[in-house]
Amino acid sequence: MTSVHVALAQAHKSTDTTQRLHNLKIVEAILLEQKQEVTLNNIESVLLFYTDSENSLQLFVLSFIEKLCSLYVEVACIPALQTLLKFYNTHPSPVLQKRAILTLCSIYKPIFQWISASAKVAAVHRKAWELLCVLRDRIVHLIPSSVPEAVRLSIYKYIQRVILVQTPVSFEVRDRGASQTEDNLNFNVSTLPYDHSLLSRADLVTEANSYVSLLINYLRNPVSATSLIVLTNLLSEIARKRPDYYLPRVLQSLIRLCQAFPAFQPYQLVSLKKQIKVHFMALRSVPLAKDFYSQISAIIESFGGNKAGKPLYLEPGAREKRLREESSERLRPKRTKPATTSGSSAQLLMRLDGLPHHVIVDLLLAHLARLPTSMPASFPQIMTVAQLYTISSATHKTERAFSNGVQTSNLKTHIDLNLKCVQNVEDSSGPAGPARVLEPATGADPKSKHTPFKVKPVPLKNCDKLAAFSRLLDSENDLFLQSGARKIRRALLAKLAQVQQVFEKYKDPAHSDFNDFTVLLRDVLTKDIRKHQTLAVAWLYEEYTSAMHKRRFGDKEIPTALCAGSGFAIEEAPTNSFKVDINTTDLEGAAGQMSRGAPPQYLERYLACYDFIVKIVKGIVNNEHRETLFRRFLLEVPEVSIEAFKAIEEFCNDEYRAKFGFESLYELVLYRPRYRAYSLNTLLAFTIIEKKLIRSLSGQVCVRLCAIDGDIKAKICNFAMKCLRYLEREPPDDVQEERSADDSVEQPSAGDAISTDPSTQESADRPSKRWPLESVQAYSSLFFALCMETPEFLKSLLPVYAQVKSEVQRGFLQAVTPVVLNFHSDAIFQKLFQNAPENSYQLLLFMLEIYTKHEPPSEALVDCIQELYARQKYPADILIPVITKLPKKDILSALPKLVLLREKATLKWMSYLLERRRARHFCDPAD
Amino acid sequence: MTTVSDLRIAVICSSNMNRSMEAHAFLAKKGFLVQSYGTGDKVKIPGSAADKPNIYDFGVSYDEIYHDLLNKDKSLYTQNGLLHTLDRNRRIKSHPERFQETDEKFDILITCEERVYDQVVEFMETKTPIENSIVHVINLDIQDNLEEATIGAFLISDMCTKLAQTEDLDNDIEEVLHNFEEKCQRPILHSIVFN
Repeated sequence: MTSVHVALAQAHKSTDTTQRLHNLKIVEAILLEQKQEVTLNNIESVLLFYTDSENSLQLFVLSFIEKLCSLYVEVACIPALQTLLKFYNTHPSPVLQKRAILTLCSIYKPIFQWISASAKVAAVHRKAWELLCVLRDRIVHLIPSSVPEAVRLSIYKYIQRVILVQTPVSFEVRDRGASQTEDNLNFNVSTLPYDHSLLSRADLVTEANSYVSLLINYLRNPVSATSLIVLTNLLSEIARKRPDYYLPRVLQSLIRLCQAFPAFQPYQLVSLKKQIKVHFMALRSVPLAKDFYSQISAIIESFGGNKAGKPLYLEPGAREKRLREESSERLRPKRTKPATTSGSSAQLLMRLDGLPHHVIVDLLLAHLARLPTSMPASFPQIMTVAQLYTISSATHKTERAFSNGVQTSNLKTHIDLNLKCVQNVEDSSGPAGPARVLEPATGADPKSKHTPFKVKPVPLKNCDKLAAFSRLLDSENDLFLQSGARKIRRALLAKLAQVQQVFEKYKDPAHSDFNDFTVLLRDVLTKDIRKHQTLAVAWLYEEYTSAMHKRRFGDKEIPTALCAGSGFAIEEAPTNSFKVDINTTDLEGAAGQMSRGAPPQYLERYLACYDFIVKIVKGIVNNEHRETLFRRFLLEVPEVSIEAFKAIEEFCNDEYRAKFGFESLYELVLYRPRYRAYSLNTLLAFTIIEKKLIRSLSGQVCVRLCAIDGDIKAKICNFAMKCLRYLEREPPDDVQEERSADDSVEQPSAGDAISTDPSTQESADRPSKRWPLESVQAYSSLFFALCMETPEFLKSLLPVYAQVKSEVQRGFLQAVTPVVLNFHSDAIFQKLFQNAPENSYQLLLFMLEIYTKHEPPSEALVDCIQELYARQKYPADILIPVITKLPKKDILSALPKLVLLREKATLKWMSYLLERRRARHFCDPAD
Repeated sequence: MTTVSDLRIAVICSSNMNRSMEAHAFLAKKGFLVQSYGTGDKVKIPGSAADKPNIYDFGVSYDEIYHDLLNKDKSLYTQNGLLHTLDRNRRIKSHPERFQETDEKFDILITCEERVYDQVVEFMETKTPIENSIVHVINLDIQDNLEEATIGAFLISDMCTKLAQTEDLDNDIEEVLHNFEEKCQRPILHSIVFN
């Protein structure tokens, strides 16, 4: 005890920084080993050194706080937090600021754990929580300010810490036990007592969620490449540790980032891509990421795959080429020699050493596809598959993968049995039993260690095959956890269902309908498609691959072709029979005009399977626009059928599910280029229908699409213009005639221009058939929705306005008002006035009036209008909207013409002037 | 020897034999706090033929490797410089170390090959941060031969000197690396992880 006081006194007295630091370290060593009372009495004396001007002493205090809170949180937390708060008030240097944030980052969890430990909250808990909140808010609010990069990175880290501490640990993560060393076992907010008077779990999670949004927002608008790299790191860790809460959001953000990287230095981009690749590879193994699997895989592939585990001593220049060669060599199943089992397994193990799990699974599938179907497989081939299976299982530790007592060894038996079933199709009359028996080959030395084996096939009964398949389906149903073995099994199931169909058909061409295996599979899918969606997708791919081979080789070659297949690979895209060119689409019944030709013959079977799945999914899809099940069967399958589009149209027509329908179309347009034209056409067809809500939703989706892709934007704008120009025509016969003009539309005060407008005069002479307002709104809604985002697009409206009938013009005037109110500046008017058609004056004036009612005109606009008036391009009423900004002499010179305007216009300019007078801008009373 | 900087630096290659050790020696002479590591599963060094490398565990000391090679083919390994390299190595530290097995904390991790960089970043990502301090991972491609290792060590030393001169490393590192990349005309990768 004495030595603490002595050391403290010496630290205070000493003028040499090194000596003071030495004394303080002695105090720290003693305090951290003494009892709490001693600590409590001396903590503040040490913490007082934060006011010292020496950086090293301040850093010592921060380090002391960290150690202290990890040991004696209940005693130390209040003085520690108070010191940190005071420390912030001293405006420390960036280095100290960064260190202080990281200190708070480290002590956040122990303090939070202490506060939340018991439902009974004392005043000290309350005070600690308040201090923690104040500090947290102060730190988080530092980011938007121009803090140094290092401080910003520390704040990101701190936010991540808060998120992890305040979000309950997912069950899945706990079960995996992957990161038990950190928060998961020691502390979990899910253990927070429900009756805690200070903290609520819901509030904490909501807060954490808002911080995740904050980080994602910073990811979208990164300050620097370093920030971006750190943010991807932190978000990825959050997603890995709390997948239930944040994984989909984080993945979506990262995928979006990959679609459009910000402009950085080339080396920064390479680093960033490498980093993201690492994250994606880690996140891909999380079960909840299965919906993103295809997107993630595509991105990883585009970033160059995994390079881990490659041979050493490669020159940097030759590395890429060598890696490519090795990768393709490894993935190519080698022709196994009729050698010993141990030898081939060892070679295989050597080849596979270090390869990632998914590659092993792909390799397994490729080997499976190459197993001969019309003749027995050789033993080495079977062994290769078995070995691959063993490796893939071991990689993912799937020994405990099966609930309900299904063990890995059973799975292996299932796989073997089913493989044997497939390979014994020639004879289905044999006795039940093992599918093949191993015998030493003729002439081989039985004493030799490496005895070659030959395989003697023993046929199975058809009922045995079905029973095996049924057992596989049952265990698939019971399967709960995602694992490598599950993926293998899915692929096998799909392959078996498809292969068996082919074989049945091969044997009996008349029997082309769904057979027993398929019926079993259909039952399973009908029962719970959500649970078996990946199986369904795998099945569709198998059907599709088979169809493509069939197309290429014909029926007789199917078994051979299947041998050459490679699991999920699609080798050739079929002709799209639904392709529609948007440019040739006529407006009248845009959707009805799409060609819906008969699907190709070879895809008949695939489409039957697909339509069957779509039918099930359509029935159970819920109304949330975030529903992923249906979209998966749109985005991940090889071909989308017309039935799927019909389902989408049904959704879109149903106001309750329209949002979901349009989101599906949006994703089809963006992510399925082969169906882009058709999807876009379907979407555009909804922009001209009578139902206002649906029309508005489709318009919104079109606007979003325009913001993403220039090509799509061109097509949508083209369609919008076509719609607009359609109103120049006479209304078609089936359009109901408008009974009364809409008086609610404000008539523009065109003054003398109206009476002399030839187009108006001409439209008055036209036949009496009129466009109903609803039709005008329907055909012009997309155009005005686009104008909301791109006001320059209004230029295209002017020539059309000059040509259309008066009731259409009224419709335009009504629709243009919200567009004008959305203008950010009046610079657009100057562009509109340039080269504006003569007959569009009425529209321009109306827009100008709307704008100037809400926003004062800029000087540039006033000058422009004065110039137009001076050139006698427009009559005097063009001055009315800007009259309040005109100089007195200009008003007086225009006065003779203004007084000649019709009464309504005269009243308008006079009221403008009176308003100006009230605003004390007008001339004196004598004027 | 007094240290020129408080920065804790690790130089990492695949076998902790040539590139990382050359840089380790160079930086240590300059007074940096430096360690060196390998990321491979085994220590692999060239053998009598391209397909017959000498493979050792990371625990085997440089001295043992030295004597092993001496017994195998003294003239060959003297000629290709391996014995000289091993002799230098054993004077720096006892045995090759594997990065994935160390608990030491660093401020900068310098890798000598893109593949090693990938492995280091991947490893650091999977590790649970304890100190929450920022770690910079920098890659500088160096070919695995004696001449390039010497040039690489010089470049690494130059880079570390510039990094040590910064007022706040985290703030200034981007600029330093950008300038250094332009100067040395070699692609550099940089990433940030947390200890």
